[in-house]
Amino acid sequence: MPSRKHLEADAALAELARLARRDLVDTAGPSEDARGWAELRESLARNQNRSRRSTMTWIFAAAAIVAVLVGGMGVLIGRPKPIEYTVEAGTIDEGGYVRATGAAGPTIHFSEGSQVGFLPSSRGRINSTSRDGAQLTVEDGGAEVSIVHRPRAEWLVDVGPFAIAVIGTSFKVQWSSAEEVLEVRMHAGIVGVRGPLAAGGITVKAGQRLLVRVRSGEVRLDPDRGEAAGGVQDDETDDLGRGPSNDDGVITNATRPQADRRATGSRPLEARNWTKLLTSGEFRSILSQAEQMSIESALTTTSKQDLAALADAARYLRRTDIAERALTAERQRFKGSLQAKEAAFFLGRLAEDASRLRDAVSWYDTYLSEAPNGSYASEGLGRKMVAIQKMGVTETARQVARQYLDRFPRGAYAVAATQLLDSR
Amino acid sequence: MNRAKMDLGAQVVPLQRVPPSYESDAELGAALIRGEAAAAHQVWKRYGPLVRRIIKRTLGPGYEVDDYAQDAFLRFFTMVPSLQEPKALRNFLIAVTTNVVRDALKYRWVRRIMQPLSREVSEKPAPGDDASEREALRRFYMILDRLSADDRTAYVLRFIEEMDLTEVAEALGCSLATVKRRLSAIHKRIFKMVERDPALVEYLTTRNGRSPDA
Repeated sequence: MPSRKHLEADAALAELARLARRDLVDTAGPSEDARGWAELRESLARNQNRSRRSTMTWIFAAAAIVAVLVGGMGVLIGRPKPIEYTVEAGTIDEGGYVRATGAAGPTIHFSEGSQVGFLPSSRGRINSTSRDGAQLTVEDGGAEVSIVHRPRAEWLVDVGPFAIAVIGTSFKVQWSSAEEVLEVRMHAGIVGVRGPLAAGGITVKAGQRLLVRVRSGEVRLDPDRGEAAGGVQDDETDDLGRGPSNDDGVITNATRPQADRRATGSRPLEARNWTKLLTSGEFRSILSQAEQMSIESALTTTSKQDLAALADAARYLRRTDIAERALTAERQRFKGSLQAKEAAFFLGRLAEDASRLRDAVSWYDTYLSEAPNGSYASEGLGRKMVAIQKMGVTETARQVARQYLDRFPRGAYAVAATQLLDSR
Repeated sequence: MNRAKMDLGAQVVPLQRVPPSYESDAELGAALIRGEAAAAHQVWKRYGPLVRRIIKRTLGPGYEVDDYAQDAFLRFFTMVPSLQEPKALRNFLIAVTTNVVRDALKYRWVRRIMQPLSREVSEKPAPGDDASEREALRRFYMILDRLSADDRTAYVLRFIEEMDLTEVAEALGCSLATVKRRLSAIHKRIFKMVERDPALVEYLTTRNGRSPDA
């Protein structure tokens, strides 16, 4: 018989699922439906033309069949197994809880080379493993985490109320549930941290230390003078397959990642899947392929998804020139699409980074008018406020601050907006 | 004497081509494999809403789904030659859609790491809108954001889309036993996260007149 606790959990989650079912429905009307079908028919026709042009398509069609057999109807063939692990100086019980067998903290060794060493007196567990990574929880105390970078690696470390998303990196994390303080010290790579006071996510890079004091509402992101200032990783490529970066965060080209070497050789345009490369962190490979076919050609002939991936890869690698051209091409070629609207926001970001504040405000305005409830509406409005303030037009910035607080009273820029309004 | 001459005086109605109805999935799937153009449109009409709904419910509030729906159908039509059981059309399309959504979640995850951005949906309630429900839904999806793409998809298909376990297993390409075990673990994990979210606890308490951790 199910326990009371079990019934309570069922009831609570059923209520939240009910909300999702009620609010997240298909709202496409007949005109959207017709437009969608017309667009699909066009894409299918383009695909058919391609297949007439190139026998290579058959190879990709065959690959697609294999992909669906493996990915979609995988029961027929079976899927790759999740990574495995062993525990040193500890045991793991049925619920995945890791328990130390001595004074030292237990260390988990994963089959693909990653390892997580719990600090003494820490508590944690393994929630799940997949072929691409694992999900762990540090309930109290801390851990030294070292994740091997692999394509499609996907690791998540839950620390108290925070979640740390990792591709491949090494860092030390500590959480005090009594004090409600989180500390992340990055040795190498990059992670994204989300949680209280960081709902929108905070990027922490090699050599940085993030400190979040939940109770006092303090968030600090500083250079880590204590442990990582010397740089654990100096001349090698970082975990995302990029060359080393200097103090200004500019990425040098000293080391050419493996993905680039794989990318040499000509392939038909339709075979490119830059979104997948982007997901694997192979940003340089995308740029390399685009340069190989000529940037101009990439901007004018690639698919909507590939063009967006090229723009993202260029932004992440700080190739602002290419990023701007790709985003502009997205807006011209795919006018009205979601990507074209978001391109306006990213053009604003690039302009802001280059201190072209007037341009930045103009792009944020464009984005906000095209996608008033879009994914980046909050950030767009917040950034517009900050940019106008930097331009010295304080009264206008205050008007934007009011708008922001009206729409996003708990948004990431709410504190800045309030301070701006109080600074009279 | 032919029939036309006999019917002199009757109103002449131009003959219209009636599109085939393909009532069952088996008929529709078979027609699709034969390459009948009308069948493709019928698949779009019959399953477009389902595909868009799965995408929307998996990605969560604030996302536009059209591009992903296009991607799902494009992949599906490319893979039709590998559809061996015409009657399995629906499950095949769900499996393809699931793959598209999982790719989208991973892509989003990379974007989040490289440039974490606020994803606040406008918090100002629309007229007639229940702000507490919108906030609860937003926080619920923030919890789902903490699951892997596979776990999140499994959870949404089973508990929000209310598919049966065999359908979820087929969509994810794993065994029934694996899906059961996995969903049980995900369910427990999500509940633990819900318990730790004061706003959700308050919402559920008010809603049900009891605390989720009672």
